[in-house]
Amino acid sequence: MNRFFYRYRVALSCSFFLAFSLLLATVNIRAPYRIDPVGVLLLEAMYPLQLAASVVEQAAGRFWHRYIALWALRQENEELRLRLEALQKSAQQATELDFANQRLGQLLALREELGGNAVAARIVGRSSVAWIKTVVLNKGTNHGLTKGMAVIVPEGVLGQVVSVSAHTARVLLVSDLNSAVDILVQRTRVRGIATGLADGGCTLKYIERKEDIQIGDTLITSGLDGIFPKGQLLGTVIRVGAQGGHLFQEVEVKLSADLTKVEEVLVVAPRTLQAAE
Amino acid sequence: MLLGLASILLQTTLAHHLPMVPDFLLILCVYLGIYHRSVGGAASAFFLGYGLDACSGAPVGINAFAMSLVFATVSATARQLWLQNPASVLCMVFLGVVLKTTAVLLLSDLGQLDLILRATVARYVVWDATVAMLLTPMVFTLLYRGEPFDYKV
Repeated sequence: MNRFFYRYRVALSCSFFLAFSLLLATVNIRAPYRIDPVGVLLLEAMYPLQLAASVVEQAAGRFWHRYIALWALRQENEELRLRLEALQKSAQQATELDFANQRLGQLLALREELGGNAVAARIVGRSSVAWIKTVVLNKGTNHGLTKGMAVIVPEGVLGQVVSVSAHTARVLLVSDLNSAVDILVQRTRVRGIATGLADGGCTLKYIERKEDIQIGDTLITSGLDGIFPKGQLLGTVIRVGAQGGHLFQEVEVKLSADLTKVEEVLVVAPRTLQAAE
Repeated sequence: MLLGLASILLQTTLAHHLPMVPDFLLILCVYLGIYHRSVGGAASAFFLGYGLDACSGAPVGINAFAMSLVFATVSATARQLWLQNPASVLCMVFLGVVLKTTAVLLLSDLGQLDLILRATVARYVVWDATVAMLLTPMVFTLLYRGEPFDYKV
């Protein structure tokens, strides 16, 4: 008998514990509020350990939130900073697009005013020599540009095309020393020739001393040079002087268009000039 | 015993912050079933389940029965098959999780599950078993290193 128990001790003990636990489970499930005395004792014995574990857990939680989580915050902060930079870039691009839209809208209005045959172009290069005032456009003969065409912007005249290739055109600005534009004083209809001063301004030539010209007078193109359309704004008179025995007055002009800040232009074809006139 | 207490504490107190509570007690039970096929092993498995019942608030006896059942199954299998290799151990852990969950569900009067709940339970069992299988090599290594030298030989 003893040998039987010894031989099957594991199976018997397993059966016993299975039966006993099944009995316990059955009793406790049928009476859920029954208090298990052994369980209570075990729970009481475990209580200090559970309390200690709970303290450790809370300390670990605090440590996590105060220190470890800071790494997550740092990463989040970095991500947010990158997003902010991207948004700032987008906002800047949107602002730039808005400005470009305004400029192009003005160009479009001017083009319609000129009869719709003008070619819009963008300035892609500027002269690096201080006394040579030229710019390069991104349109050329392939787009209908030819030498001698006028280049204007909504603020006024800019210059004329002096050389042209298939995809680019070089424009001599009105502020260049070699530039000459036939103009009218808008108030008195006095004619003159505006030539560049290479410093961003112009001067008027051949204005006789007897002619009535005052500071603040507006100058417009006369259209008689066959290049610029008539009535386009050139600038305003900022200084008038007559030195010694010269026949002509010295008149200094401030150009209406800021040539250093222009980005888009209209290139006006001769046919358009005639139509506009 | 200390390991059992530590596992109970770990499972009932600390491991709740993890996305999935690993069943250290079940791994311990499988270890007992493979390496300690004795009356002490059976008693340890029972008390592991009993302690878990007492500390976790479950009706006393449910986990005790489940653990005893797992121990009995593993020890009976280990008598017939060579289970002291990694693949067999992982299989036994997987089967142990399935067996334990089934026993707990049956005893908790949750045997009549509808289809949706069955799918949820099945998913839960698979996840639980996977986590337990992943932890098994580490726990087994620690337990085996803690054994007396003559036992290992």
